[in-house]
Amino acid sequence: MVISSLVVETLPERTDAVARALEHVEGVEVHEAQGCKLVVTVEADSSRASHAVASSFIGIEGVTNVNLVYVNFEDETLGADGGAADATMDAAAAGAAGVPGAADEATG
Amino acid sequence: MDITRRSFVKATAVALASAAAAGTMSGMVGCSSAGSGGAASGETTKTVGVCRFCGCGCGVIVEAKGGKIVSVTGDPDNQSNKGLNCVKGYYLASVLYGADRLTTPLIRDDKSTKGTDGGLREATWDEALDLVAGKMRETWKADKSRLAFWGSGQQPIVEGYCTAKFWKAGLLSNNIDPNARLCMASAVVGFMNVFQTDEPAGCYADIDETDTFVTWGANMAEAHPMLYSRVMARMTNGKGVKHYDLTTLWTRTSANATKVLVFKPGSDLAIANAIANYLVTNDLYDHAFVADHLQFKQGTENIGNATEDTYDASEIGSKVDAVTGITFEEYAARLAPYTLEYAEELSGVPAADIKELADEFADKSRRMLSLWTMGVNQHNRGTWMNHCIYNIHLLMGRYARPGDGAFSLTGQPTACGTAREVGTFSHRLPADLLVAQEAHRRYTEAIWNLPNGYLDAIKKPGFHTIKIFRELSKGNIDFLWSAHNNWAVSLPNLTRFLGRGDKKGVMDAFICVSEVYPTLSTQYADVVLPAAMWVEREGQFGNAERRTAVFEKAAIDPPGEAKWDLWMLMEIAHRVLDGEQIGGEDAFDVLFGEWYDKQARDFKGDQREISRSVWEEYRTFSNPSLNPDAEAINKEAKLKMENKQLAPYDLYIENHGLTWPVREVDGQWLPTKWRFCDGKQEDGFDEYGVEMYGKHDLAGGVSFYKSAGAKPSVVFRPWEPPAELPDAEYPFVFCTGRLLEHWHTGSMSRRVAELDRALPEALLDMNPDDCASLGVSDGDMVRLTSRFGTCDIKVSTAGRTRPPAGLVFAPFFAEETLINLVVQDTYCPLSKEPDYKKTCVRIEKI
Repeated sequence: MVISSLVVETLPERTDAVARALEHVEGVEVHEAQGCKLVVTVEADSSRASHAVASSFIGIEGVTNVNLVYVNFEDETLGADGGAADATMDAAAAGAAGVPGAADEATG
Repeated sequence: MDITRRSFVKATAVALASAAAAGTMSGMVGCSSAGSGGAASGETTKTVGVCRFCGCGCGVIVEAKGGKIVSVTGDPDNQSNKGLNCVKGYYLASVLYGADRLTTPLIRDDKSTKGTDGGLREATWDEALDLVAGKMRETWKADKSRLAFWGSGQQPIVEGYCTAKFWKAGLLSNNIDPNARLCMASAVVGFMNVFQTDEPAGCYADIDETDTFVTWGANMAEAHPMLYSRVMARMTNGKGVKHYDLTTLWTRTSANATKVLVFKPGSDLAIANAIANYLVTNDLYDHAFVADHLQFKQGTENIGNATEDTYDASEIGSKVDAVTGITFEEYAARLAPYTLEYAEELSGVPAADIKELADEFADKSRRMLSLWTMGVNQHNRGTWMNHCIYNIHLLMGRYARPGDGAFSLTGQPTACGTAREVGTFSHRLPADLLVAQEAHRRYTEAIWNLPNGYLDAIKKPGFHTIKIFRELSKGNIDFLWSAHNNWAVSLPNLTRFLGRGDKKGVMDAFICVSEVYPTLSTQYADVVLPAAMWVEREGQFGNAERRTAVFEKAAIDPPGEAKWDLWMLMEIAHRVLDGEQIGGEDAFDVLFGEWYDKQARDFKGDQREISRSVWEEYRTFSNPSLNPDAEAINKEAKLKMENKQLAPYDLYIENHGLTWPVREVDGQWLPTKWRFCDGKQEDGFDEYGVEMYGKHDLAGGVSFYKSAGAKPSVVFRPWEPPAELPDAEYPFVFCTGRLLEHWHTGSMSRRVAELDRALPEALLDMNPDDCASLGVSDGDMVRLTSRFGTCDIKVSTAGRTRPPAGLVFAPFFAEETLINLVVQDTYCPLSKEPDYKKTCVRIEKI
């Protein structure tokens, strides 16, 4: 379980609406409002999932900013789950594909 | 995580975010600042860090347990970000743990395997270091013009300093340049020409106080997310705060702007001059500020374009830096042709919009902050455009005052700290000093304990970045060491450097690459040295607002045999300098003997002690009283070196970063937020600098004591067209840049699965009308061809940017697309920074 907290900034007239919208997102809790700032936690299975959830906030109407304050990933084995194993494979494959492109250019 | 622990962690998370929202987070994070514990320790340790990614320089607290990082918190005591991070912070730790981290030295035995993903074999450190040092020494002894080092705005300060010292004093070579040449050089030359000091007067806090933002060629929402957060917070919370976005294409930064002024590429010069002209002809400028503070100049014009190798040495190329003094009236006369209508004609921006912005500048009841990055700097007239922005701000007395300033943003975490302040450029010495100036060399010799006149051998500047790689491509570089960068993706005109003909230069040269992950550059390396990354070691960054911050080594170790870069440097330096002498003493020991025991092959202390000791030597440059010889030269040559005063090392850790100059007042070291602005040091003003060298009670309450005659220069710079204009053969302008998820060439951020998925490939953003006329639609592959090269890329009309008809955009992170095969390597003739923003191309469906 990855637990993180964020400060979500909103347009002044949209603070309540944003808070209601956030409460509908799985794993998200809104703890308090300070003016047009909302104190939010995200609980998700991995850093990756947490990032996906937090990144989606900017799409909520009235959200002007999403700031990450704290992220705890002590349960996560970095490099396997939240880390990069599959991305690395993707990147490596992509990289390998890129090389002939450059080489073609050399002879072209 | 059990339920009790989970409740505790969640309560911690809520309390921290609540305090961050209220601005009362300081004191809650509980960082020990006690240095690192053992990696095997089961204890939880917290250390002070700085984000590894962009140029914002946000502070973080890193918590480690059992040799792994377990949490990251925004650092409330770092004034650059005050506890807040952008969502990339989720992956700060993940970037350390990519599955293909380089963990052992690698050697390529067969040069014909270069450019493939094979051919590298594992080696011992001794074998790799002997090979690198042997090749370096061989080249150095034979012809030292044929060796080069390419560094980085991501190389921490202590290593940058020692590398520069090794190259300049050890090898007596100026063939050292950083990748900051590709991003900040135009800003640097702008600063030096206008203010005779390479630094912004303002700071990030200006964002919280201004009334009108003007972004010039800057996509802050993608490239500086934390600072854009502050812009948005100010827009939301301030009354009537406005934002004018000047750009060549609609970006996410345009989304919340009050007004977006989309101009034709290169016409920003005309718009800026039209604003200045409007302010002068309508007598709206600040007369008192002009009288007290400014001098006026013009320079060499019709300077052509630095596309050919022969440009720098050509008749015009050698005159580009020349300026002459003119009167205010002559300056006004030079501006006169730049009417609002003429600017509209060149830029396509309605005259009424330019007038509105000019009126905004004229309204002294409001404060105004200009912010800019690569659109201005990566420009065939990048230095000129920096001038033009300062010209407007100086005419209006809007500079160096809280909320009222012009601020050049940086792209990399320590572009300022290492590249600029340390001086890892081909023409520089530490602390703004220049190799070409005799007094500067004498001063450096005093601090480096070199014989008088020793550095006269390097009075001629070396190769700038593009020159290094052009010479490499022509077979004129035999040895290249690149560290903390990925030139095989990031250089412009890669076709020339990697793709055209037989690539003989790159294939034949001996190339050493220090890296943390395999990249396209390691595919061209003869030796790859695996480096410790970020908080696996101690390091120091200097960000855009003059803030120096230390990231402590966390209680984790680098993987496998990866090593601290400074250790690699020492091991190579003592091999290369074996048997050499400086002033009758062992050369290595003169330069590095205080820190490194070459017999024992180890440092004479732990990383904290060595960093502190190197820092103490480095900060002598800005504290001449620490060295009597340097102090005497400083006085005699009036170098005013204490103007950039740095504090003792530990203060940076205790204070979670400090903005220089840092002044010692009654035993306290106090930072400066607003440089040249008179006021109490305790409040962040430059009290002691003004007291020491400036004057009180001048217009605007500022005193530009570092400028020649205490007067910054307003230099008239005309509009001159881009190096290429669209024509029948190449009808589109191709602009390149960065998008949020990927940091530069993606060598770190593409290892993070979510970031990679969020932006898996580089797309060509196109205007729907252009797509229609070419008969292409979203997802189609097209071939992009310029005079320089070709690449294939997928079209999108739904991307993050919305280009106007005639302009296309793609990000440069993707090595499989390699858009830099297409991009011109034409550079600003003054700064030698390439123009990545306006290569003319044709687009064909494939």
